[in-house]
Amino acid sequence: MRERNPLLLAFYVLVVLFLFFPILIVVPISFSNGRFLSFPPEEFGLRWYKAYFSDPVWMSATFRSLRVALGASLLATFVGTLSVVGLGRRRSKTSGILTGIFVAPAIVPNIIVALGVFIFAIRMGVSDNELTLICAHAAIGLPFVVLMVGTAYRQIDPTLEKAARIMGAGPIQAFLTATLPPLTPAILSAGIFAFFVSFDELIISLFLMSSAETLPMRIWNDLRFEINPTIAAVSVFFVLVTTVAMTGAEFLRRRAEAKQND
Amino acid sequence: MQGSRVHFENVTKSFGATVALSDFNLDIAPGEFVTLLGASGSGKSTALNILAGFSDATSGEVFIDDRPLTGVAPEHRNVGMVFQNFALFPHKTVAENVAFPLKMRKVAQAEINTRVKAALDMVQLGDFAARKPAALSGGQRQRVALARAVVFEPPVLLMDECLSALDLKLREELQEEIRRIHREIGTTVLFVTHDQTEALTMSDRIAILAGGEIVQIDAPEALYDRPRTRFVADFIGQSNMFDLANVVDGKASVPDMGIEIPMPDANAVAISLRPERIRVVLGDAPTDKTIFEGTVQDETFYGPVVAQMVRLSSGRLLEVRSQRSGHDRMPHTGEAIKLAFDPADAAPLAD
Repeated sequence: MRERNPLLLAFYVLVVLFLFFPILIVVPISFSNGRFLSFPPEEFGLRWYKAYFSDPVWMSATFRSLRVALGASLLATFVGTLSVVGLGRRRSKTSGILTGIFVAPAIVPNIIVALGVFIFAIRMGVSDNELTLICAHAAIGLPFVVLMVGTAYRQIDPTLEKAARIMGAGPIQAFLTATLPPLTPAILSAGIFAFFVSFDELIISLFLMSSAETLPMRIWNDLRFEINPTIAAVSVFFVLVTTVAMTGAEFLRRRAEAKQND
Repeated sequence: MQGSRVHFENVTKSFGATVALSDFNLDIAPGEFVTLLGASGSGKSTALNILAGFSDATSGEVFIDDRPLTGVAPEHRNVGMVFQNFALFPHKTVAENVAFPLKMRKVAQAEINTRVKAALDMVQLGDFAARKPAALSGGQRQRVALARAVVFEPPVLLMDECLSALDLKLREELQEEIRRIHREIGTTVLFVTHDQTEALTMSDRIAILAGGEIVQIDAPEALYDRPRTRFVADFIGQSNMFDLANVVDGKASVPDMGIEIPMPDANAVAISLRPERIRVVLGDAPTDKTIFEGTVQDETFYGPVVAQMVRLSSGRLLEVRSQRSGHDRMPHTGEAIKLAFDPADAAPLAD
C-alpha cells in the first residue's frame, strides 16, 4: 500500500467534517427533549419525533411531498427514457440540440424555472395544483434521467436489437427484449434520483403552491415563525430516507454495471 | 429442410456521395454456401445488411425465392443470422436465447423444448442450457449464437464476420462445425469475411468484392487457380505476376523470363503463377521450353516446404515454393537456379 501523507489525511478529514457538519449538529438536536432549539441538548428523548409523526399538518405535507415526488419521478423517468431512445445512439446536430434542451433545466437556476412556471400557471389557471407541481418537478428531474439513462443506453450493444428483429421480433418487442432489461437498473436509479430532486425542492414549490404545502415548504414556513426541534426530527428523517434510497440506487447501478462487464 | 434461392438484382446502395454497393448482382442457388470476401469498405457487409433488412437498397431488388424483399421488415424475412460479436441476450440463459426465435413464431412450449435441446446438442452444448452467456467462452458463445440462428430452420442463413472475434484454433474448429451443420440442414448460407483462408475452406463459391462490386465469383479452386485480374491474384494467396508481350496467334512472350509460352487468351496482358506451381529444374533438362534462369536471393525454411526468392536477369523477384525431397541438392542462396512451369498453370490476367 502507498504511504499516506498526513497532511492529505488531515485535509480529507476536514472535508468530510465540513460535509457532515450540519448532520452532526442536527441529529443530536432532534433527540432533545427541550422545548427550544438548543445545542448541545440538555435532555434526550423522542419528544419531537412524536410531535412530527402526530401532527396532521406535518404529515399531510410529508405525504404531499411523497405524492408529488413519486408522480414527478415517474413522469420524468418515462419521458426521459423515451427521449433517450428517440435521440438514438448516433450523435447528430439535431440530437445534440435536443439533448441540450432536455438537459437545460439542470443548468437554468431553479428560481428562473419557478418564475416561468408560476407565470404560466397563473395564466392557465393551474397554480396551487399538485399536478402542475408534478410537471414542474418532472422538468427539473428530466436532465438527470436523460444523462443517466443515455449513458447506459449508449453502452448497450445495438446488434442485440438487430438480432432480436431478425429472429422475428417487431420493433417494440425487440426493444423490450434486447434493450430494456439491461437498461432497467439505470432507469430505476435515475427514477430514484428524480424522486429526490422533487422531494427536496423548495423554490418552485414556494412559487407555485400556497394553501397546500410540501414538506420543504412546511420546514421553511415553520422556521420563519418559530424555531423548535420538530424541524431537526424531520430533517433526520429526511436524511435517513434519502440516504437509504440513494444507496439503493447506487447499488443497483453498480450491480448492473458488473453484470454488463462479466 | 430446403434452402432458398437468394437473388440480388442490380442492387445499389449509396450513403450520400459514397457508393457502398454498385450495381450488385448475385444469384445463390438453394442450399449453396457463398462467401462474400473483401477488405473492409468493399461493400460485403452492406450487401448482407440489405438482405437482412437492416438497411434499404438505394435501387435494385433482393429476392428470396421469388419474393421481392423491399418493404419487408427483418422479422418477416425468415432469415437466420450470426453476428460477429455473438449478440446473445446477456440476461437470458443459453436455452432462453435459443428458444427466442421459436417463441416469436409462437411455437408450442413442448416443441420449443425439443427443438432447443436438439439445436444445443448439434453444437455440443447440451449441458450448458441453464447457463448465462457470460459464463461461456467465446467459442461456446458463438456456438450458442449458431444454434439460435438455425433453430427455426431458416431457409437462408447469414453470417457476418462471425468467426473473426475468435482465435485461430477456435476459428478452425468452428469452420468445420459450420460446414457440418450446413451439410446437415441444407440451408442457403451467405457468409461474409475478410479472411481468405476461411473463404477458401468453407465455400461452394466465393465472390470477391472491391469498391462495392463483385470482381470475380468462382469456386475456391477456380478462384485460386484461375484469378482473372491482378487484384484477385494478389488478394487470394501468393502470386507472381508477369507482364506479357506480343500476345498473337495463341502465343505470348514473357520478357522478364525471356521465354515464349502458349497463350490462348488473346486479351491477356499478364500471367499469374502460384509459387508452388513453379518447379526447380535440377540437372540438365534442355528440352523444356519454359525453362528460365535466375539467382537465389533468399530462402525461408518452413519444414516440408522451402520458399526461395529468385532474382531474374531482368531484375524481377519471384517466389518459388518447393516440397523438399531430401535426396536432391537444391541450389541455395547466392547460387544460380533453373526454373520451369507448366504453361497451363499460368493464369491469364485481363488487367
